Amino acid sequence: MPGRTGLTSWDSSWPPGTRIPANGLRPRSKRGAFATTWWGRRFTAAVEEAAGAGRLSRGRTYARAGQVVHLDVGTPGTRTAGRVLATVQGSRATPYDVVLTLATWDAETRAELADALAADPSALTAVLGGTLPESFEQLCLDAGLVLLPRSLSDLRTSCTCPDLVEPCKHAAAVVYLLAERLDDDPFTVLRLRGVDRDALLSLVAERRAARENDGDGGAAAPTRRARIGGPLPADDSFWRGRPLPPPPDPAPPAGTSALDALDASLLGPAGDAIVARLRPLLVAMTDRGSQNCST
Amino acid sequence: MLAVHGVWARRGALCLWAEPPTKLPLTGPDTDAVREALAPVLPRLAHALVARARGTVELQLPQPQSVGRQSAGDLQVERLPAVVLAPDRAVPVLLELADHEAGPPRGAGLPWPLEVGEDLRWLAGVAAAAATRARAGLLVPGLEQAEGEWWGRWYPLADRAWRRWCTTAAAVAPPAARAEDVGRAGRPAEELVGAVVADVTALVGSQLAAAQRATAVPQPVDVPVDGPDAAGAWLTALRTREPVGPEAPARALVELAARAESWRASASTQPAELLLRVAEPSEEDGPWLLQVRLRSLDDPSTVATPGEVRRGVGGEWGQDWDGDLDPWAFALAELGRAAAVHPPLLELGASPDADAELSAQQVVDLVTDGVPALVGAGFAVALPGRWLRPQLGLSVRARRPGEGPAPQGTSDVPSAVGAPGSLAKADLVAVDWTVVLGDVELDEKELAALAEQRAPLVQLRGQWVQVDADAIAKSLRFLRRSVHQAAADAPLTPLTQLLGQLASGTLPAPLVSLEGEGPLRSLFAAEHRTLEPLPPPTGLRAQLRPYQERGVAWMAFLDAHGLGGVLADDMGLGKTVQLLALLLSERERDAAVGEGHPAPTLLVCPMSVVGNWEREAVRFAPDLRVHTHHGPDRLRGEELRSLMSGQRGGGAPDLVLTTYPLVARDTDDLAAVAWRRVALDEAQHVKNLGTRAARAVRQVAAAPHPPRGTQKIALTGTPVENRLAELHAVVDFTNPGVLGSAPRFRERFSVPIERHGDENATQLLTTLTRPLVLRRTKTDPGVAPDLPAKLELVVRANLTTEQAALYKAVVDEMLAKIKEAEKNKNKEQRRGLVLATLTRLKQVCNHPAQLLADGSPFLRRGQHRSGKLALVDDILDSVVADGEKALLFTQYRELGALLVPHLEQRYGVEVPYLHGGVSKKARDAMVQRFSGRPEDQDDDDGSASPLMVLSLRAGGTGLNLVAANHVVHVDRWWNPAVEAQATDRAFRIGQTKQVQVRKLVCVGTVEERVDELMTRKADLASTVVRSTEVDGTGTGEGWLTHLSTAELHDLVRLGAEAVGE
Repeated sequence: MPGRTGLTSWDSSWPPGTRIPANGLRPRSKRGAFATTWWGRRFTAAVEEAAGAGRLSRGRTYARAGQVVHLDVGTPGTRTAGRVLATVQGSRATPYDVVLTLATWDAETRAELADALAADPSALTAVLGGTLPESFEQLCLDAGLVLLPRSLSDLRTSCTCPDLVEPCKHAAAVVYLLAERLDDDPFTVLRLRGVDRDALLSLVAERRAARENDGDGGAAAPTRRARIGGPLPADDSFWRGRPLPPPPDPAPPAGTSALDALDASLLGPAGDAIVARLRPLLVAMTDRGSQNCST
Repeated sequence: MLAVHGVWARRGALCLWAEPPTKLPLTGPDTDAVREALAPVLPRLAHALVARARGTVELQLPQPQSVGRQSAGDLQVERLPAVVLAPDRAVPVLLELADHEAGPPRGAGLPWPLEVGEDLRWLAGVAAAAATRARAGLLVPGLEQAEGEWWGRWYPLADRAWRRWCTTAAAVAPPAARAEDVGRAGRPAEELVGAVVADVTALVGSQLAAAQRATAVPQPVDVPVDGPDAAGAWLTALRTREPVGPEAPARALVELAARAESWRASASTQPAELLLRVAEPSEEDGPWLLQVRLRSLDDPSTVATPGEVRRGVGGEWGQDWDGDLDPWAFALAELGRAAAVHPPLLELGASPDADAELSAQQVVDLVTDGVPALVGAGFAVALPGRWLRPQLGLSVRARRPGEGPAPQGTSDVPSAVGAPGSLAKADLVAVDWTVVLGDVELDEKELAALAEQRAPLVQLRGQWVQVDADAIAKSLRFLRRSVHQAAADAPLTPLTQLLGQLASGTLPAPLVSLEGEGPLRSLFAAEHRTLEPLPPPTGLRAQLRPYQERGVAWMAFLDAHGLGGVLADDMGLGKTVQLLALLLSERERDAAVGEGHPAPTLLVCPMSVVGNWEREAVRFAPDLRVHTHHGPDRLRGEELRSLMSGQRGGGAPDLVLTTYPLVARDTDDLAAVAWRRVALDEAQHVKNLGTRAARAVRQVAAAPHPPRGTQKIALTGTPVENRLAELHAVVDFTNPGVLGSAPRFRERFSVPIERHGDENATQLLTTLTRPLVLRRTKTDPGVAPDLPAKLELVVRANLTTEQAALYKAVVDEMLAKIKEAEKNKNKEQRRGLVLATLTRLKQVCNHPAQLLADGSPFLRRGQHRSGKLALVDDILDSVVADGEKALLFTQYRELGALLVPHLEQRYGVEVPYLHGGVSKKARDAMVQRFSGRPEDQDDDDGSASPLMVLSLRAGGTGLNLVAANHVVHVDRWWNPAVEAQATDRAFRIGQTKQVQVRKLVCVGTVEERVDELMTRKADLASTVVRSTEVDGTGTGEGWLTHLSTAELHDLVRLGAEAVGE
C-alpha cells in the first residue's frame, strides 16, 4: 500500500488533487445513494444543499475508494460528544482530520426528552429496534429539540485540508459514510446529540416509574434501588462514608479462566482461535502474578 | 495536624490534597521528618507527600461557617495544590494504604498528627479489590485508541458478582471522594467506581502481561498463526505495552475493538430474559393479548412484568438485578432487539407497560411469521398451551356399490346399478369424501360452521385451532358438489378415474388417506396380505411361496375389478411363475363354472427371454398350451386368427409369447385378437412412450373386446430405473389415465420429488400407486423368510441368426468328420473331434467372435451378436439398478477379454477380470477393491465395480467374494461340483443376502440338452465326476465322447426353437 507510510512530507511527486490510495473504510453502497433511510438522507441532504456538485461527487468517490481511514462517533459524556472524528487520506501524505460537529443536548434537555419518551416509550422501542419513526422527530420538536440537521448550520464540518469552502470533499465523504452507519443504527443519531443509550434508558425508566407512582395517587411504591450518590452535602457527612463490603471471592474455579465466562463467538469468526491464543497468556499472568507483582 | 484526602480525577490520576492550611506536596523543614516517621509503615505515601508531582485540583468543598463544619453551609469550588499521581504511581500508594487499615501510629516521630481521610481510604479499598481481582486473572483484554494509535488494554471481568459489589461500593462512597468539580451533583459514585476499577485493572493487567514479555508464552500448536493479522498484532501489543503494530490494518482494528467490546460485555448477564407471551382471550369474543414479560433465568417458572420486577413484587429475584439498567429499561431494550428481528411487533403495539390486544388474524400472522424468526434469534416466546395448527385434508373411502355403510356426507348408492358381478361395470366404486382437520373428521355441519366464521382461529371441540379459511370454504364447496353428484346422476366412479382425479391436483385440500371398504380394503392397505388367496391351481408343478400366492391373488382381484397392475417384484422372486399360476388358476376356475376356455394371454418380452418363458411354462405349467409368435415362419393374419379361435386343431392357445419388435411389426394382426390379457415382461422396455413398441403394445391391449375386457399386466423388477416418468409410463399402460397425463405427472410428481425431494408428493404418489403396483423386495419382512438362502436358476437364451448359422456349420462339419474317423476306425481321432467340436459349439453359444477369433466387433450396429450376452446385459442391468454386485464365471479367457470392455463401456465402471495370467498380488488387490464398501473407495480412481469377471479355473476356488450376491455362469462346465465351488465364492459365511445363481444355456443347443440330461438324471452328477477323474480333460465332458454318433447328433443338433429373429 503506497501512501501513508511510504511517503514523507517533502515528497512532492504527487500532483495536487491526486488522491493517494488508501485502504480505509469501505461502504456497502457500490453505486447509488449512500443513505437509504429517511433519517440518513437528512444528513446527506444537509451537506448536498450546501456543497457544489464537484465536491459532492469527489466526496462520494472518496467514500467508495476507501479514502476515509477512520471514522468515530464521539462518546456521550466526554469531550468528543456531539462530534464525528474522521481521518481522510487526501492528496497529501498526511491524512486530513475531519470533524463534524452537532449541537449536543444538555442534561436538562435530555431529561425533557426522557419525559416525552416516558409518556410514550414505543418510539424508543422502535429506535432500539433499528427504525427511527417520524413520530420520534415530532416528539423531539414538541420538546423543543432539533434531532436531525435541517441544514449545514446544524451540522458543522471542518477539515485540515487547504480547501476553504465548507464542506470540502473530505467532509462530504465522511458524511456519506456516516449516513450508512445511521441507516444501520438510528440510535447513533441520538449519540451525536450526546445521548448515551443506557443512560437514556435508565432516565426514561426513572421518569416512567415516577409517572406510575403519580398515577397510583401517591401510593409511592418503593423504587427498586435508591439512587446512588445524589447532591453533595455541605455538612459533616461530606467527609463520611460507610465501610466497604468484602469483595467477592476472586478465585475462579480451578482450570477455568475469565475467558470461559465470555461468549467467544462475539469476537467474530476467529473467536475461538483468538481465545485459544489468549488462554496461555492469561494463565501465565495469573501464576506469576501471585509471586512478583504484589508491589 | 496533617489531614490527607484524595480524589480520582477524571483525567485518570490520583490527586492527593491536604486540608488547608497545609499544602501538598510538603515542603520545608517538615519534609524530612515526615519521610522518616512514615518510612517504616507507609513508605510510598511518605514518598508521595513530598513528591515533586505538583499540580492542582478543583474541588467543591463545604465552607466552614463562622463556628465550624458542624453547621450546614454552602459548597464552594476551591482550587487547591495537590500531588498528582498517574495510575502507575498512584496504585502502589493506594494498595499500601489498604494494607494498613489502622493507619499510621499517631504522633510517632511526626511533628503533628496524620489523618487519612475516609475518601482516600475508600479509594484505596476499591483499588485493592480491583487489583486483587486482576491478579486472580479476572481480566479481559480489549483495544483502545489513544494518541492516534491502538493499544491493548485490560478490562475487569464484569460478571454479576463483581457488578453487584461495585454498586454497593458506590453506595458507601464518602461524598468527599466525588468532590471533583463537575457540577452541583458531584461526580456520580457508580461512574467513579467504574473509573477507578478500570484504571487500576488496566495498570495491573499490563504489568502482569509485561512480565510475560520475556517469557515466550506457549502457543497452542493447533492454532494457526498466519502472519501479521489484526488479532495477532493485538495479542502482541497486550504483552509489549507498545501500540498495536502498523501491520494491522486500521479497518480490522476498528472492527476488532468493537467485537472485543461486545465480547467483554457478554460477561454480564441480567438475571432475566425477555418473554413474549401470546395469551388467549379470557372471555368469549375478547381480544388476544401480546404480553411483554421478564422471566427469571434461574427459575423459568417465575414470570413478571418489568414493573413488578422493579417494584420487587415479582419475587426476590428482582433484587439480583445488576448494574445500571433498570428492569423496565432492560425489557424495552430487549423489545427493541426483538423488533429488529420482527418489525411488525411495533405495529402490534408490544410494550413493557401494557398488553397489546391482537385480532385473531394478527395472532396467526405473528405465530406463522414472527415466532419462528424470534425463536431463531434466541428470544423466548410462549404460545397458549393448546395451540394447534392441524392440516386440513381430504380422506377418501372407496367401496363397491351396496357394500359397507354410507357415512355422512354421501348418499347411498341405488343397489340396482353396478351390482357385484356386473362385469362391465366391474371397476365402478362409490366414493365417500370426508374432510379431516388434523385427526378430527368434520361432518358437513361442522365444516359449514367453520366456513361461516371465516376466522383464522377457531375453537373446535375445546381447542384453539388455526385454520385456513379459504381451504375450509373450498372443501365445503367440493364436498357439497360431490354429494350432489352422488345423489343425482353419477353415483359411481370408475376406480381408475377416481385415482386420476386424486392425482390431478384439483382437490381443495391434500389427500390424507385413501381407503377401501369391504374387499377393496385390502387393495388400498399397505400390504396386500389380507387378500383371499386363491386355491392353488392343480396344474401347477411348483409350490408357490406365500408371497407368490398373494401376488397371484392380487392379479386375480384386479382382474375381477377390471383393473390392470404392475407386478414389480425384485428379480428372482418368481414373477414368471406367478403369472403362469394366474393363467392356470383362471383356466381351472372357468372350467369349473362351465365358462369354457378363457381367451389367450399375450405375453410380450425381449427376445432374449422368449426361450426361458417357453421352458418355464413347460416345466411349471405343462397343461398350458403355449404358442410362440416368433421367427420368420410365424403365423400371420387369418392363420393367426384361426389359431386363436381354436380352429387349427389342438384348441386355442392359453399363452402366446412374442417379442417387442414383433408386436411393433405385427400390430394389426395381434390387435385383431380378443386377448384375455396382455402382459409385458421386462416392462421397462415401454418406458419411452415414443417408441414403436410402446405404441404397439398399447394398441394391441386397447382393442375393445367386450364384455370381458383385456387385463393389462406389467412385469418388471425395476419399475423406476432412472426417472419417475418410467413408472408413469408403465402404470399408464396397465391403467390408462390413472396417474394423469405425462406432462401433468411431471409437474405434479416428477419435478417436486426428483428435484425438491417433496415428501408430500412422494406420499401421495405412494398412496395412489399402492393398489396398482405390487412390489416386494428380497429384504421385505414378508418375503425374506420365504426365500431360500440360495436361488439357482437355469436361464435360457436364444441364438441370434448369426450364431445359429455358425452353430449349424460346426455341427455339420463335425458329423462329416466323425463319419470319416469312424470309417478309419480311429477312436482317438473321433474322441478329439468330439471334444473340439463341443468346445466350438459352446464358443458359438457364447459369441460368434469367440469362435471366429477374428477380432470382429462385440456388437453389430448396436445390436447384440449373441443372444446369451444380450441376456447377460438384462440380468446385470437389474443387479446394478439394485445396487448389488455380480460375479461372472466363464471357462474361456477369450470370452472374458471380449466381455470386459463391453461391460466397462455399458456400466461406466472398471470391471476387474481375474484370470490365470493375473499375478497373485494383483488378484488380491482386485478382491480387496471389489469387496470394499463404496465409501472406502472415493479416494481411489472411482467407485468399486459392481461386476467382476472370473475365469472358472483361476477364480473358482479360494476367493472370498461375499460382496457379490449374484453369480452368473456364462458358460457351463458340465460338472456341478466345480460350478458349485465357484458359486461358493459368493455363497459362504459372511454373505448377508440371498444369493442368486444363474446358469445360462442357449435354447435348442447342446447346452440346453446336456443341462436337461443332468437335471433329469440326478445320479449323473456322480457319473460325471467320476469320468472327470479318468478322462483327464478336466472339463467334465469326457463322457460325451462315449456316445454313439446318433446320440451325439441328437445332443448337438440345432433345434428349430433356437433361432431368434
